[in-house]
Amino acid sequence: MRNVLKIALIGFAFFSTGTCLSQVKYEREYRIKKDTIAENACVFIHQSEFLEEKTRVKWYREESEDGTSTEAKFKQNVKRYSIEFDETGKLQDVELEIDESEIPVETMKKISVILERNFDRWKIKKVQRQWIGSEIEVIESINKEYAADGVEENFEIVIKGKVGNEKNYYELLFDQTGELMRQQRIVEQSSDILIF
Amino acid sequence: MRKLQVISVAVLLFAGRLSAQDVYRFGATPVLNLNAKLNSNYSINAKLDNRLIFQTGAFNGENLNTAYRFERQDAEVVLANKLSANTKVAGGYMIRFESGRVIHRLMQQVSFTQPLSTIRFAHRIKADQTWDPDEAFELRLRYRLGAEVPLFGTQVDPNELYFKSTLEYLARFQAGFENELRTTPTLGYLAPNENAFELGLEYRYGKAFEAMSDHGFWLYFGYYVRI
Repeated sequence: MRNVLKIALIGFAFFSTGTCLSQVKYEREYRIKKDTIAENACVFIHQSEFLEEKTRVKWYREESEDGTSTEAKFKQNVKRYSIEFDETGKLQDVELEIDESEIPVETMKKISVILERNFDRWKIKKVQRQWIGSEIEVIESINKEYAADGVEENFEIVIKGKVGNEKNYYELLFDQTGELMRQQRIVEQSSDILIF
Repeated sequence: MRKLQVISVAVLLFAGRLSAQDVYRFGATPVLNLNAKLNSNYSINAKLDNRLIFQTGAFNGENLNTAYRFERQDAEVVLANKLSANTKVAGGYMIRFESGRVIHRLMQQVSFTQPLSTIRFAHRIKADQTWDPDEAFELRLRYRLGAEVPLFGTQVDPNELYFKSTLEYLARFQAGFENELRTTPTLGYLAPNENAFELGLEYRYGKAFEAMSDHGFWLYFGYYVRI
Protein backbone atom coordinates (compact mmCIF):
# COMPACT_ATOMS: atom_id res chain seq x y z
CA MET A 1 0.00 0.00 0.00
CA ARG A 2 2.84 2.36 0.91
CA ASN A 3 4.55 1.66 -2.43
CA VAL A 4 1.36 2.42 -4.33
CA LEU A 5 1.04 5.69 -2.39
CA LYS A 6 4.69 6.51 -3.07
CA ILE A 7 4.32 5.88 -6.82
CA ALA A 8 1.10 7.91 -6.84
CA LEU A 9 2.87 10.74 -5.00
CA ILE A 10 5.81 10.71 -7.40
CA GLY A 11 3.45 10.54 -10.36
CA PHE A 12 1.35 13.40 -9.02
CA ALA A 13 4.41 15.51 -8.30
CA PHE A 14 5.87 14.80 -11.73
CA PHE A 15 2.81 15.35 -13.88
CA SER A 16 1.21 18.17 -11.91
CA THR A 17 4.27 20.39 -11.98
CA GLY A 18 5.24 20.08 -15.65
CA THR A 19 8.14 22.48 -15.98
CA CYS A 20 7.56 23.71 -12.43
CA LEU A 21 10.70 23.68 -10.33
CA SER A 22 9.51 21.89 -7.23
CA GLN A 23 9.20 18.12 -7.37
CA VAL A 24 9.78 15.14 -5.16
CA LYS A 25 12.99 13.17 -5.39
CA TYR A 26 12.87 9.50 -4.62
CA GLU A 27 15.73 7.25 -5.57
CA ARG A 28 17.00 3.81 -4.76
CA GLU A 29 20.69 3.15 -5.08
CA TYR A 30 22.25 -0.26 -4.61
CA ARG A 31 25.61 -1.91 -5.21
CA ILE A 32 26.06 -3.95 -8.38
CA LYS A 33 28.80 -6.22 -9.61
CA LYS A 34 31.28 -5.03 -12.20
CA ASP A 35 30.30 -7.79 -14.64
CA THR A 36 26.74 -6.41 -14.90
CA ILE A 37 27.88 -3.00 -16.14
CA ALA A 38 27.62 -1.86 -19.76
CA GLU A 39 31.00 -2.27 -21.44
CA ASN A 40 31.23 1.41 -22.50
CA ALA A 41 30.94 2.57 -18.91
CA CYS A 42 33.55 0.12 -17.71
CA VAL A 43 35.96 1.10 -20.48
CA PHE A 44 35.46 4.81 -19.76
CA ILE A 45 36.26 4.39 -16.06
CA HIS A 46 39.17 1.98 -16.33
CA GLN A 47 40.85 3.02 -19.59
CA SER A 48 40.63 6.81 -19.47
CA GLU A 49 43.70 7.03 -17.25
CA PHE A 50 42.28 9.53 -14.76
CA LEU A 51 42.12 6.88 -12.05
CA GLU A 52 45.14 6.43 -9.81
CA GLU A 53 46.25 2.86 -9.22
CA LYS A 54 45.12 2.80 -5.59
CA THR A 55 41.66 4.28 -6.32
CA ARG A 56 38.84 1.84 -5.63
CA VAL A 57 35.67 2.22 -7.70
CA LYS A 58 32.24 1.16 -6.41
CA TRP A 59 29.43 0.58 -8.87
CA TYR A 60 25.77 1.34 -8.14
CA ARG A 61 22.46 1.04 -9.95
CA GLU A 62 20.24 4.07 -9.40
CA GLU A 63 16.47 3.90 -9.84
CA SER A 64 14.53 7.13 -9.71
CA GLU A 65 11.56 8.88 -11.30
CA ASP A 66 13.95 9.76 -14.18
CA GLY A 67 14.65 6.09 -14.95
CA THR A 68 17.53 3.72 -14.30
CA SER A 69 21.20 4.59 -14.52
CA THR A 70 24.59 3.26 -13.46
CA GLU A 71 26.96 5.18 -11.23
CA ALA A 72 30.66 4.75 -10.56
CA LYS A 73 31.72 6.30 -7.27
CA PHE A 74 35.25 6.80 -6.07
CA LYS A 75 37.36 9.00 -3.87
CA GLN A 76 40.59 10.41 -5.23
CA ASN A 77 42.84 13.14 -3.82
CA VAL A 78 40.37 13.69 -0.98
CA LYS A 79 37.60 14.41 -3.50
CA ARG A 80 34.48 12.28 -4.00
CA TYR A 81 33.48 11.65 -7.61
CA SER A 82 30.29 10.17 -8.97
CA ILE A 83 30.13 9.38 -12.70
CA GLU A 84 26.72 8.56 -14.12
CA PHE A 85 25.95 6.53 -17.25
CA ASP A 86 22.68 5.54 -18.90
CA GLU A 87 21.73 1.87 -19.26
CA THR A 88 23.71 1.54 -22.50
CA GLY A 89 26.85 2.88 -20.84
CA LYS A 90 26.68 6.36 -22.38
CA LEU A 91 28.21 9.03 -20.16
CA GLN A 92 25.58 11.32 -18.57
CA ASP A 93 27.49 13.52 -16.15
CA VAL A 94 30.25 13.74 -13.59
CA GLU A 95 29.62 15.03 -10.08
CA LEU A 96 32.42 16.16 -7.83
CA GLU A 97 31.80 17.01 -4.17
CA ILE A 98 33.15 20.44 -3.31
CA ASP A 99 33.06 22.94 -0.49
CA GLU A 100 30.48 25.72 -0.60
CA SER A 101 33.33 28.25 -0.79
CA GLU A 102 34.39 26.81 -4.16
CA ILE A 103 31.25 28.17 -5.85
CA PRO A 104 32.15 31.43 -7.66
CA VAL A 105 31.21 34.44 -5.52
CA GLU A 106 28.75 36.00 -7.98
CA THR A 107 27.05 32.64 -8.57
CA MET A 108 26.78 32.04 -4.82
CA LYS A 109 25.23 35.48 -4.31
CA LYS A 110 22.53 34.65 -6.83
CA ILE A 111 22.00 31.19 -5.33
CA SER A 112 21.60 32.75 -1.86
CA VAL A 113 18.97 35.17 -3.17
CA ILE A 114 16.99 32.26 -4.63
CA LEU A 115 17.30 30.21 -1.43
CA GLU A 116 16.13 33.23 0.62
CA ARG A 117 13.16 33.59 -1.72
CA ASN A 118 12.17 29.89 -1.72
CA PHE A 119 12.77 29.00 1.95
CA ASP A 120 12.01 30.54 5.32
CA ARG A 121 15.19 28.93 6.70
CA TRP A 122 17.90 27.00 4.94
CA LYS A 123 21.32 25.52 5.52
CA ILE A 124 23.61 24.03 2.89
CA LYS A 125 24.56 20.42 3.67
CA LYS A 126 26.31 19.29 0.49
CA VAL A 127 27.55 20.83 -2.77
CA GLN A 128 28.51 19.02 -5.95
CA ARG A 129 30.00 20.41 -9.12
CA GLN A 130 28.30 18.77 -12.11
CA TRP A 131 30.02 18.48 -15.49
CA ILE A 132 28.20 17.51 -18.68
CA GLY A 133 30.10 17.11 -21.94
CA SER A 134 31.78 14.72 -24.32
CA GLU A 135 33.94 11.94 -22.90
CA ILE A 136 37.15 13.70 -23.94
CA GLU A 137 36.07 17.02 -22.40
CA VAL A 138 34.99 15.35 -19.17
CA ILE A 139 38.26 13.40 -18.86
CA GLU A 140 40.17 16.65 -19.34
CA SER A 141 38.03 18.28 -16.62
CA ILE A 142 38.68 15.45 -14.16
CA ASN A 143 42.41 15.63 -14.82
CA LYS A 144 42.55 19.44 -14.46
CA GLU A 145 39.94 19.54 -11.65
CA TYR A 146 38.07 22.38 -13.39
CA ALA A 147 35.59 22.51 -16.27
CA ALA A 148 37.36 22.22 -19.63
CA ASP A 149 36.21 24.22 -22.67
CA GLY A 150 32.87 22.96 -23.96
CA VAL A 151 31.82 21.40 -20.65
CA GLU A 152 28.55 22.54 -19.11
CA GLU A 153 29.08 23.18 -15.41
CA ASN A 154 26.22 23.20 -12.89
CA PHE A 155 26.02 23.11 -9.10
CA GLU A 156 23.88 20.55 -7.28
CA ILE A 157 23.15 21.64 -3.72
CA VAL A 158 21.47 19.71 -0.90
CA ILE A 159 19.98 21.90 1.81
CA LYS A 160 18.06 21.47 5.02
CA GLY A 161 15.13 23.82 4.49
CA LYS A 162 11.91 25.09 6.02
CA VAL A 163 8.92 26.27 4.01
CA GLY A 164 5.94 27.19 6.19
CA ASN A 165 5.51 24.20 8.49
CA GLU A 166 7.34 21.81 6.17
CA LYS A 167 10.89 20.92 7.25
CA ASN A 168 12.79 18.74 4.80
CA TYR A 169 15.94 18.13 2.83
CA TYR A 170 15.88 19.58 -0.72
CA GLU A 171 18.09 19.11 -3.74
CA LEU A 172 18.52 22.09 -6.05
CA LEU A 173 20.36 22.32 -9.36
CA PHE A 174 21.79 25.67 -10.46
CA ASP A 175 23.56 26.54 -13.68
CA GLN A 176 26.96 28.24 -13.77
CA THR A 177 25.38 31.69 -13.41
CA GLY A 178 23.24 30.70 -10.42
CA GLU A 179 19.94 30.26 -12.27
CA LEU A 180 17.74 27.62 -10.68
CA MET A 181 17.16 24.68 -13.02
CA ARG A 182 15.44 22.21 -10.68
CA GLN A 183 14.27 21.97 -7.10
CA GLN A 184 13.19 18.69 -5.51
CA ARG A 185 12.15 17.69 -2.03
CA ILE A 186 14.12 14.62 -1.02
CA VAL A 187 11.90 11.79 0.22
CA GLU A 188 13.60 11.12 3.53
CA GLN A 189 14.38 7.81 5.11
CA SER A 190 12.48 7.14 8.30
CA SER A 191 14.62 7.71 11.39
CA ASP A 192 12.36 5.63 13.70
CA ILE A 193 14.70 2.65 13.82
CA LEU A 194 17.58 4.86 14.90
CA ILE A 195 15.94 7.04 17.53
CA PHE A 196 13.39 4.73 19.23
CA MET B 1 32.03 4.18 11.82
CA ARG B 2 35.59 3.41 12.85
CA LYS B 3 35.16 5.72 15.85
CA LEU B 4 32.02 3.83 16.88
CA GLN B 5 33.83 0.51 16.57
CA VAL B 6 36.63 1.83 18.79
CA ILE B 7 34.10 2.99 21.39
CA SER B 8 32.25 -0.35 21.22
CA VAL B 9 35.49 -2.25 21.70
CA ALA B 10 36.33 0.01 24.65
CA VAL B 11 32.96 -0.82 26.18
CA LEU B 12 33.57 -4.51 25.69
CA LEU B 13 37.00 -4.12 27.28
CA PHE B 14 35.29 -2.61 30.30
CA ALA B 15 33.14 -5.70 30.28
CA GLY B 16 36.42 -7.55 30.49
CA ARG B 17 36.89 -6.00 33.95
CA LEU B 18 34.79 -8.82 35.30
CA SER B 19 35.24 -9.75 38.88
CA ALA B 20 34.20 -13.16 40.16
CA GLN B 21 31.45 -11.58 42.25
CA ASP B 22 29.90 -9.80 39.29
CA VAL B 23 26.43 -11.04 38.51
CA TYR B 24 24.91 -11.66 35.14
CA ARG B 25 21.56 -12.25 33.55
CA PHE B 26 21.00 -13.90 30.21
CA GLY B 27 17.73 -13.85 28.30
CA ALA B 28 15.79 -12.38 25.43
CA THR B 29 14.04 -9.12 24.78
CA PRO B 30 11.48 -9.09 21.97
CA VAL B 31 10.36 -5.56 21.08
CA LEU B 32 7.43 -4.43 18.96
CA ASN B 33 7.69 -0.82 17.82
CA LEU B 34 4.81 0.94 16.07
CA ASN B 35 5.24 4.31 14.40
CA ALA B 36 2.49 6.42 12.88
CA LYS B 37 2.90 9.78 11.18
CA LEU B 38 0.12 12.12 12.30
CA ASN B 39 1.03 14.95 9.92
CA SER B 40 4.20 16.39 8.37
CA ASN B 41 5.60 17.36 11.77
CA TYR B 42 4.09 15.05 14.38
CA SER B 43 4.39 11.30 14.80
CA ILE B 44 3.50 8.86 17.51
CA ASN B 45 5.57 5.89 18.59
CA ALA B 46 4.26 3.00 20.65
CA LYS B 47 6.45 0.21 21.99
CA LEU B 48 5.86 -3.14 23.65
CA ASP B 49 8.97 -4.55 25.26
CA ASN B 50 9.09 -7.92 27.03
CA ARG B 51 11.94 -9.49 28.92
CA LEU B 52 12.46 -13.23 29.34
CA ILE B 53 15.20 -14.62 31.57
CA PHE B 54 16.93 -17.90 30.75
CA GLN B 55 19.72 -17.88 33.32
CA THR B 56 21.12 -15.76 36.16
CA GLY B 57 24.07 -16.11 38.49
CA ALA B 58 27.48 -14.84 39.47
CA PHE B 59 30.59 -15.36 37.36
CA ASN B 60 32.14 -17.38 40.21
CA GLY B 61 29.36 -19.97 39.72
CA GLU B 62 27.35 -19.04 42.81
CA ASN B 63 23.56 -18.48 42.82
CA LEU B 64 23.09 -20.17 39.46
CA ASN B 65 19.46 -20.18 38.42
CA THR B 66 18.56 -21.73 35.07
CA ALA B 67 14.80 -21.53 35.49
CA TYR B 68 13.12 -19.79 32.56
CA ARG B 69 10.93 -16.91 33.69
CA PHE B 70 9.07 -13.92 32.39
CA GLU B 71 10.52 -10.86 34.09
CA ARG B 72 8.56 -7.87 32.89
CA GLN B 73 6.52 -6.15 30.24
CA ASP B 74 6.78 -2.49 29.23
CA ALA B 75 4.28 -0.50 27.19
CA GLU B 76 5.16 3.01 26.14
CA VAL B 77 3.82 5.75 23.97
CA VAL B 78 5.83 8.75 22.74
CA LEU B 79 4.72 11.83 20.80
CA ALA B 80 7.44 13.29 18.55
CA ASN B 81 7.66 16.71 16.93
CA LYS B 82 9.97 17.46 14.02
CA LEU B 83 11.93 20.66 14.70
CA SER B 84 13.90 20.49 11.46
CA ALA B 85 14.68 17.97 8.71
CA ASN B 86 16.97 16.05 11.07
CA THR B 87 15.90 17.07 14.59
CA LYS B 88 13.03 15.74 16.69
CA VAL B 89 11.87 16.36 20.23
CA ALA B 90 9.68 13.79 21.91
CA GLY B 91 7.99 13.10 25.20
CA GLY B 92 6.16 10.06 26.47
CA TYR B 93 4.99 7.72 29.17
CA MET B 94 5.81 4.11 29.97
CA ILE B 95 4.05 1.64 32.21
CA ARG B 96 5.88 -1.46 33.43
CA PHE B 97 4.43 -4.65 34.88
CA GLU B 98 7.04 -6.47 36.93
CA SER B 99 6.65 -9.02 39.75
CA GLY B 100 3.15 -7.81 40.58
CA ARG B 101 4.23 -4.16 40.71
CA VAL B 102 3.13 -1.38 38.40
CA ILE B 103 5.90 1.11 37.60
CA HIS B 104 5.42 4.47 35.89
CA ARG B 105 7.98 6.42 33.87
CA LEU B 106 7.99 9.77 32.07
CA MET B 107 10.47 10.38 29.24
CA GLN B 108 11.77 13.41 27.32
CA GLN B 109 14.22 13.26 24.45
CA VAL B 110 15.82 15.21 21.64
CA SER B 111 17.40 13.44 18.69
CA PHE B 112 19.51 14.46 15.71
CA THR B 113 20.13 12.30 12.66
CA GLN B 114 23.25 12.89 10.64
CA PRO B 115 23.22 11.32 7.16
CA LEU B 116 26.67 10.90 5.62
CA SER B 117 27.59 9.35 2.28
CA THR B 118 27.15 5.68 3.25
CA ILE B 119 26.31 5.76 6.96
CA ARG B 120 23.68 7.46 9.09
CA PHE B 121 24.34 8.51 12.67
CA ALA B 122 21.76 9.43 15.28
CA HIS B 123 22.42 11.22 18.54
CA ARG B 124 19.77 10.90 21.26
CA ILE B 125 19.77 12.81 24.52
CA LYS B 126 17.13 11.56 26.90
CA ALA B 127 15.91 12.06 30.46
CA ASP B 128 13.46 9.86 32.31
CA GLN B 129 11.86 9.77 35.73
CA THR B 130 10.62 6.54 37.32
CA TRP B 131 8.16 5.90 40.11
CA ASP B 132 8.37 2.35 41.52
CA PRO B 133 6.21 1.52 44.58
CA ASP B 134 9.09 -0.52 46.11
CA GLU B 135 11.96 1.84 45.37
CA ALA B 136 13.01 5.46 45.68
CA PHE B 137 12.29 7.89 42.85
CA GLU B 138 14.81 7.50 40.06
CA LEU B 139 16.13 10.04 37.56
CA ARG B 140 18.25 9.00 34.59
CA LEU B 141 20.14 11.14 32.07
CA ARG B 142 21.17 9.32 28.93
CA TYR B 143 23.08 9.81 25.69
CA ARG B 144 22.92 7.31 22.84
CA LEU B 145 24.92 7.21 19.63
CA GLY B 146 23.45 5.07 16.88
CA ALA B 147 24.86 4.16 13.49
CA GLU B 148 23.14 2.52 10.55
CA VAL B 149 25.11 1.07 7.66
CA PRO B 150 23.37 -0.22 4.54
CA LEU B 151 24.83 -3.49 3.30
CA PHE B 152 23.96 -2.99 -0.38
CA GLY B 153 23.97 0.70 -1.25
CA THR B 154 24.37 4.21 -0.01
CA GLN B 155 21.18 4.19 2.08
CA VAL B 156 18.84 1.56 3.46
CA ASP B 157 16.12 0.95 0.87
CA PRO B 158 13.18 -1.47 1.02
CA ASN B 159 14.09 -5.14 0.65
CA GLU B 160 17.65 -4.55 1.87
CA LEU B 161 19.73 -5.63 4.84
CA TYR B 162 21.52 -3.21 7.15
CA PHE B 163 23.76 -3.24 10.18
CA LYS B 164 22.81 -1.08 13.14
CA SER B 165 24.66 -0.48 16.35
CA THR B 166 23.90 1.72 19.33
CA LEU B 167 26.03 2.72 22.26
CA GLU B 168 24.43 4.39 25.25
CA TYR B 169 25.60 5.90 28.51
CA LEU B 170 23.17 6.32 31.42
CA ALA B 171 23.70 8.30 34.61
CA ARG B 172 21.29 7.00 37.27
CA PHE B 173 20.35 9.05 40.31
CA GLN B 174 18.45 7.04 42.92
CA ALA B 175 19.53 7.53 46.52
CA GLY B 176 23.10 7.25 45.14
CA PHE B 177 24.67 7.57 41.71
CA GLU B 178 25.42 4.79 39.23
CA ASN B 179 26.80 4.55 35.71
CA GLU B 180 25.45 2.19 33.10
CA LEU B 181 26.62 1.40 29.58
CA ARG B 182 24.68 -0.38 26.87
CA THR B 183 25.48 -1.52 23.38
CA THR B 184 23.22 -3.24 20.86
CA PRO B 185 24.68 -4.41 17.56
CA THR B 186 21.97 -5.77 15.25
CA LEU B 187 21.43 -7.02 11.74
CA GLY B 188 18.27 -5.57 10.22
CA TYR B 189 16.05 -6.12 7.21
CA LEU B 190 13.85 -3.40 5.78
CA ALA B 191 10.86 -5.10 4.16
CA PRO B 192 9.20 -3.83 0.95
CA ASN B 193 6.36 -2.41 3.09
CA GLU B 194 9.03 -0.49 5.06
CA ASN B 195 8.54 -2.48 8.23
CA ALA B 196 11.86 -3.55 9.71
CA PHE B 197 13.02 -6.67 11.53
CA GLU B 198 16.18 -6.67 13.64
CA LEU B 199 18.09 -9.44 15.30
CA GLY B 200 21.04 -8.85 17.59
CA LEU B 201 22.56 -8.89 21.03
CA GLU B 202 22.04 -6.29 23.71
CA TYR B 203 24.72 -5.95 26.37
CA ARG B 204 24.08 -3.92 29.53
CA TYR B 205 26.83 -3.09 31.98
CA GLY B 206 25.09 -1.92 35.15
CA LYS B 207 26.79 -0.42 38.23
CA ALA B 208 29.64 0.15 35.82
CA PHE B 209 33.16 0.53 37.22
CA GLU B 210 32.02 -0.54 40.71
CA ALA B 211 33.34 -3.43 42.79
CA MET B 212 30.35 -5.61 41.96
CA SER B 213 28.71 -4.94 38.60
CA ASP B 214 25.68 -6.30 36.75
CA HIS B 215 26.04 -7.71 33.26
CA GLY B 216 23.02 -8.31 31.07
CA PHE B 217 23.22 -10.33 27.86
CA TRP B 218 19.97 -10.22 25.92
CA LEU B 219 19.05 -11.70 22.58
CA TYR B 220 17.33 -8.82 20.86
CA PHE B 221 14.41 -9.24 18.44
CA GLY B 222 13.00 -5.97 17.16
CA TYR B 223 10.05 -5.50 14.83
CA TYR B 224 9.34 -1.96 13.62
CA VAL B 225 5.96 -1.35 12.01
CA ARG B 226 5.10 1.81 10.11
CA ILE B 227 1.38 2.53 10.09
